[in-house]
Amino acid sequence: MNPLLQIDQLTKHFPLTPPQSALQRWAKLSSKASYLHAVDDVSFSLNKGESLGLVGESGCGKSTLVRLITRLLDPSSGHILFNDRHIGDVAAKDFALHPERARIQQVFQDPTDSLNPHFTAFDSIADPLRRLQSLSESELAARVQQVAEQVSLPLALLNRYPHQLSGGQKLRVGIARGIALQPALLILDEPTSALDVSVQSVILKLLDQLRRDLKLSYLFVSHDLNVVRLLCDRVMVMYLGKVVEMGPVEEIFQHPRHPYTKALLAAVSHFDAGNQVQRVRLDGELPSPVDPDPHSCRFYGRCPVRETRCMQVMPELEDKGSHRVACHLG
Amino acid sequence: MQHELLLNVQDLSVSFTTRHGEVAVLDKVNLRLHKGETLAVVGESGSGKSVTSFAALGILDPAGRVTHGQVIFDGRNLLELSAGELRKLRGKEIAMIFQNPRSALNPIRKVGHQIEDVLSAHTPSLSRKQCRELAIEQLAAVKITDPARRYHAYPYELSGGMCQRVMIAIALACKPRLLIADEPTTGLDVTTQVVIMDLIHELAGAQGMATLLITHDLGLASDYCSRVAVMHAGQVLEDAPIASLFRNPRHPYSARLMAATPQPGISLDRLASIPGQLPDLRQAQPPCRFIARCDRCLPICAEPGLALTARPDNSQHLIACRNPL
Repeated sequence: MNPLLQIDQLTKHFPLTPPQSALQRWAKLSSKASYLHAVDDVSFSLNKGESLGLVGESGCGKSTLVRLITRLLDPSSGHILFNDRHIGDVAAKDFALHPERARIQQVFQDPTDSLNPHFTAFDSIADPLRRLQSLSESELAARVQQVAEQVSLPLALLNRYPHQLSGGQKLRVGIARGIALQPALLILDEPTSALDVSVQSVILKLLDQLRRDLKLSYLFVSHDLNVVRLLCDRVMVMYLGKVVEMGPVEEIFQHPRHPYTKALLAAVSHFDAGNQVQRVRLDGELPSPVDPDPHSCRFYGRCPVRETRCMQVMPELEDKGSHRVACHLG
Repeated sequence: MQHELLLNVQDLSVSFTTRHGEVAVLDKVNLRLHKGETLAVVGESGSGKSVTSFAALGILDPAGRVTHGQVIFDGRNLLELSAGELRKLRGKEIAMIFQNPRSALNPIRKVGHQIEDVLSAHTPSLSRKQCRELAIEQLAAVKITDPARRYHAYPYELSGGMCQRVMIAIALACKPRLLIADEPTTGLDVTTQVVIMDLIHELAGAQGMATLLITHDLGLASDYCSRVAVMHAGQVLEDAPIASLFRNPRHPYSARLMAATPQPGISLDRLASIPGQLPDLRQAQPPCRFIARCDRCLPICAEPGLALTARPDNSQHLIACRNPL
């Protein structure tokens, strides 16, 4: 069976306009262009019905990768195969009319910011249906009611505006909007990060149920590894535009091999008071993604176990046991 | 271990005047914080965690007022101090790290100058040069690399983690005795979160400072605090040493809150949920505001006279529940 989504050596570099000196402007000389390496040579596949977690710090390229897959950005190079069709070759501005457009939907991070304050819940859910499907008003109303029931949003709330809804209810509207077009792939960008734990657990169960019932594939972007563990089959760890580790979720949690994954897992809180595991601390912050050294491991500067060769040869993603790791020492 | 009491919030009630009438936001909140201790206040959003600290510092929104109770800091009732006396105290004796450093810092002022503002307000005798040196020293203390250069940075030039370090530098500039940290790591990356919390913990330890950590993250509380107070709808429901609370939560709400937090080893079907929402505080509330969401509620729960009391088996473990676990 072919995977639903196949990403092959996907790369996105943003050109930066360097500041010019007065002399350069006068002489009409351009300085050397530099590139921000947002996503660098990323390959993975996502099967039908599978849930893949994508984790990493802010600035690691998660959002750019998502925007490439939803075809809001054009890749610099590489391929995106969705349902065996090369959607990476379609220009971002033409993708709105592409037949696969409706099959990839997203639930956005902040349930408040991602709903139009002038739209009622009904209008928010109906908006993608109105734009991409030609339904009669009665069909539209029936479909909106149906998805509202699927996400357990009380029908009485459908004519309310976002400010009249709670955080959990707004997120349900966002999820209903995401599944209204019956997509095959739903991208969830930190869906529960703005919610309290009491609401979060209900939403996580709902998402899990929806995936089974509607046979959806999830790309679940999150920095909360505890949540990823609950909802995902496989997990992919990104660092500065590169995938550093990928594998089945329990394998990664039990036996992380990349030092960055180890540090991420060590930062996960678990309340075993007085039973503290030795935590790996990362010094410094994410280095600049502008023109990184192509020969050095991106994690070199912060790595607690670095060796000289890590600075000379960039480690490639290799199969090691049940997962893939990009580390000389993993 | 007998520590001296530094902050004692006694029966603090706060209500807000809104166009929908009076909203009783805090209901007889009791918190005790000893010198050098770290206390976490946890609860869902809207449970009154931040309002408690705002009321103590006299920085409540104009619509809010303290209707009952007192806040004793080092023998003085903060609620009876004049505006001038409070101003001398804030930033010097009690400092606060606000939620979301990006919006708490002044966007059009260099971060170095923002640290100097606190220093010169509380120590007018300092010369400009001394202020500047102290500010750079303070930036170095929160482990900002190249502090002399970063002194001239504006908040937009710094990352979220860096801005939070600047906030900590401002808060700790006058070596306060009490630090109130309101969700200091919300919005930061997990790896940055631990580094920031380590920093607060380390500096607090070095200065013998007491810390009140306001958070909704139980895991964070368990890592850095000695005691936890669990708040719900403006009431403190449980106040216990960390080990006692996590091994043996007695209030149904605390137990539910813990069971609803995703943890390694807990599958999705075993993750608990808390039914219902925070009660609508515009309506008159029963003595226990958790009553509508509680599965252990008894007829006696509707009777007045609920108070935070110690468990017979553990004098350190206080709960406000008629039918504890």
